[in-house]
Amino acid sequence: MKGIIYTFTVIISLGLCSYFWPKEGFQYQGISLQFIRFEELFPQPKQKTNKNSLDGEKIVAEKEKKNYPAYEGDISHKLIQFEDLSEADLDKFIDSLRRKKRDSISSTDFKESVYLINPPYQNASALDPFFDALNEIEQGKDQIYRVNHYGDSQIEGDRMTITLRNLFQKFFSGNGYGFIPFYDVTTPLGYERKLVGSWNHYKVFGGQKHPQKKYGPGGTSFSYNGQGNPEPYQQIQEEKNNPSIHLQLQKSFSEIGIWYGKGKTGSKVYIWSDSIKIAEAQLDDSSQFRMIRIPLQQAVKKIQCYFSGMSPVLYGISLDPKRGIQFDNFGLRGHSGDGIMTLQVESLQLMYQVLNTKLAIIQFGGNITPYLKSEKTMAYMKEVYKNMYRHFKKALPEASVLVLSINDVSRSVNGQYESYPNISDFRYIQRELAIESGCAFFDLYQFMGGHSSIALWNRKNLAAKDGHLTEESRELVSKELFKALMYEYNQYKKRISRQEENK
Amino acid sequence: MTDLTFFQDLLYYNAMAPLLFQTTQFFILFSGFYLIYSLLHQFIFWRNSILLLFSLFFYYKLSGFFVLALLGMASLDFFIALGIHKSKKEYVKQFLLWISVLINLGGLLYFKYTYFFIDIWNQSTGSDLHLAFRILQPIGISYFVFKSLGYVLDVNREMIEEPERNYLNYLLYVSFFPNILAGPITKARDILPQFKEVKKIDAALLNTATLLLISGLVKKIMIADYIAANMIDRVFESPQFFSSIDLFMSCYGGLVQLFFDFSGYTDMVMAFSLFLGFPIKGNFNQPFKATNVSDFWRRWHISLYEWLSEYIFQPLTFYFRSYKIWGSIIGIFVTFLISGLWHGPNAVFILWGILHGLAICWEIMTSGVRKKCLQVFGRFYKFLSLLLTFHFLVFTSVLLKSKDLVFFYSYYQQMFQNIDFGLWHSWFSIYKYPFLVMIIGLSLQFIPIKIYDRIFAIMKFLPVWCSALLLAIAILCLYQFSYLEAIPFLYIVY
Repeated sequence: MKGIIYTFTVIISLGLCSYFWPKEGFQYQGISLQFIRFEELFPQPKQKTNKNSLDGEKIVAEKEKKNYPAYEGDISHKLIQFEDLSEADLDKFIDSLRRKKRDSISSTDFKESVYLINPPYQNASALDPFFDALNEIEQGKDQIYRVNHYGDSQIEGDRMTITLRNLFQKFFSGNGYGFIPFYDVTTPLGYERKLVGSWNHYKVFGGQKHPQKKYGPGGTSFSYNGQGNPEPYQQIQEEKNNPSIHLQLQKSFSEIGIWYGKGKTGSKVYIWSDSIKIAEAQLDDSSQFRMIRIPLQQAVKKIQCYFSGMSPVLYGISLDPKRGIQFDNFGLRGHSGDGIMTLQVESLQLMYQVLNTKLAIIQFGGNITPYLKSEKTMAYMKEVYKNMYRHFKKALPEASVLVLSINDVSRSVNGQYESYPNISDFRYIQRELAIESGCAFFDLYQFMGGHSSIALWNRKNLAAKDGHLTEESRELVSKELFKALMYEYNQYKKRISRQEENK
Repeated sequence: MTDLTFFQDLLYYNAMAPLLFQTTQFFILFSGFYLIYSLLHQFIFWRNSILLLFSLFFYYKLSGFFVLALLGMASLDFFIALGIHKSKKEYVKQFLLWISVLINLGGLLYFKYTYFFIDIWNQSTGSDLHLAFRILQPIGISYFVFKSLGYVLDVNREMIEEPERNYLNYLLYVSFFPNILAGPITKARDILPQFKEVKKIDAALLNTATLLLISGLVKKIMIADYIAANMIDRVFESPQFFSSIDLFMSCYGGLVQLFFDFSGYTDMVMAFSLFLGFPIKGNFNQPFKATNVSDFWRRWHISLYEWLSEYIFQPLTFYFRSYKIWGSIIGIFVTFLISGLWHGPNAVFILWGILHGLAICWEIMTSGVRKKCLQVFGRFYKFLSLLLTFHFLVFTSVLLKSKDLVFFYSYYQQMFQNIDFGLWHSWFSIYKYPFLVMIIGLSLQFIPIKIYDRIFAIMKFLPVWCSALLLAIAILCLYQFSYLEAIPFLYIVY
């Protein structure tokens, strides 16, 4: 009997607290006392869904299978062993690229590229899901389609992605910066960012790990320490440590996206521009991944997001168009891609569904070049990359994956810079694995000119000796990739029209 | 209409969210179970049956269908023990005993050490052997294997004169939910007889259990998790980004975190066991008061120390008794090597075990000199010993938080590079709160046990509703500290 009295007393006292506890908690001298609320334990089904809020767990996983146009998929002429260019030929090739770079791109430039392979996959081409999205944009569909660009220091801080984004948005509409992490070691291109308060920065690679392995699609997550103040702007200004992010943009935006995960009751974001509050939103959802699009009262260039309540798991913010195509840069310095496999396929799948990702570009390899010393390490790396490509492919069953090969990297040998050995072989391994996994492949190594090309690129101020491309060469590569993709897209459209004619 | 997801989450296994004592899910499940248990606790068969069902469900929530592996291994040991007891011939007994040892240790080696042995094989032969499938480790396997194997050994040595004949009771002993996760490793001869008795759930028992539960929650959430999240984890994640003073202080913090995490867990285990009417022995006795390493092992993870001592050290020293002191040294060395391996299939644990073993060997060899020192220097020598032992524990505990020897080496290298104690002030200004929590936690260790006993004695006289309210208030207060979601207990992985 005593046991029953005891249990009932505990259950009833905590149950009453849970039932009557105010949503915003009890405030005492700036401290908010929280307790788990009844509706968090027994959630009611939602009556109405906010159309701005995309909840992964509510999106039906089984989408209607697309009917892609028939694809012959003969890529045998591209599966060749390349011969290394002589230095003179390479020199001419680079100069021709440079000349072409000055011209603006038109549809006549979309020619078949020997560097891009679009293999057949499930009765279609590997890139068909992405082309389908481009086609839908052209048909005026009112939606944002995303491309997630993964890579290491070669792309960090929006490098390469920015050129690809600009080119695609020029042809298929769209604007904005895409994904903006709360913090990154790089200085962002196109906007200024300042993070205020005490924050934790978690990464799947090379930094603090999240205790529950909660990361966003780019392999990072953030949380602030303590609790923010929901009070008006002037007071916040005085409190210098209030967790907030301040953005100074080059263009005006009238909508902001917040990417976040499981929130705590009372978590909120207040958005200000100078001294005017332009929006606020709750961040206390229990979903694993959510992107909330918050309309702002006016288009602004200066945005400050102040957070209050206990920190939810935050992934980042995004500035996107209303419709069209958007590119997100997920660069992690020093990363080789294996860290992303910390994210389970199911979690990635959910995030990609929320984001409506139609293409993932995977550009890893530069950081493994020093380890490609023997057959054993090559075999090991092959296994790692095989798993990685398959991981992405499984997570993106209704989208395309494009693998960008390793680029040439050199190191100092007796005072002379030489390319690392085995890069060429590993590029072929990447090609083989990509095709096997149903991914498209772009041979960046060959585009650079193959073995020891990095020396000439370096002499022509197109790359550092360690393989990092300069602004100019990033543009060269991005434009070549864009043109190659557009050629394949035109082929896709021809297939569609042939299919419709046959009907 | 209510969303059914909550109930699905409550009932189904989710590898990403194992059921932990400090979670809301466990609180709800245990409350429901305890209401029924309180009604049935006077009927032994029904009480044990519902407790067994809940224990198996708890293990299912922790490890999914590995619950079948637990049932399989426990069942085999149950029948083997009966066979050993019944058999009149020594060679049959020995044969059955070896079957049990092979099954238990074989299971443990397979689930826990396969990858470790493959790595050693590959490194030593240069081959590239790898498994075509993935082995997952059932949670708590080191604990339930030791429990079950210990029972068979006890029956064989006739430490248990009558083996358990009730199959359900034996399954309950092995799967008993309070200590299935990470011990304490209860001995069959201590707990099995309790399952046959009618237990009284009275106010004194409930009040003591409440205090133990609050103590466990405070140790885990307010001390261990707090200093881990605010001071230690970030340093151990990427030591290369921190100064030597950060690394030094994280060594101290790491040991304090380890103690409060495990000790908090043990208090909760004892509390839940007591709520059910079955008192079990604790695992700690103020370990930082130890004046040498062997003294430390009599105060830290006592149940493991006793198990290893009874089933490994004592038989070994008996076997090597003709070598006198060297026999003991061999026994100690092997025991601590096994202790290191038991903590995990990793060279860092082996090195940790070896270092502790070597320290105890040193103590045995210098016992005469040290006795004389104690006589001459008295309290000062005792204090010096305490300080030295504590620092030995602090600096070897880095091994327990290192992922491999390379990490351990680089941690030490970084710690002793560019030592600048001038950074102490800036370190303190950043970490003053975690540091204070650490100091308070350590100070609590030096309060005489009789004060704690007095608190428990006073608590016993409280009315039941009063201690229930105290628990509710404690939960409300501790909720304010649970900034992060529940951090799993560190000792689950061992």
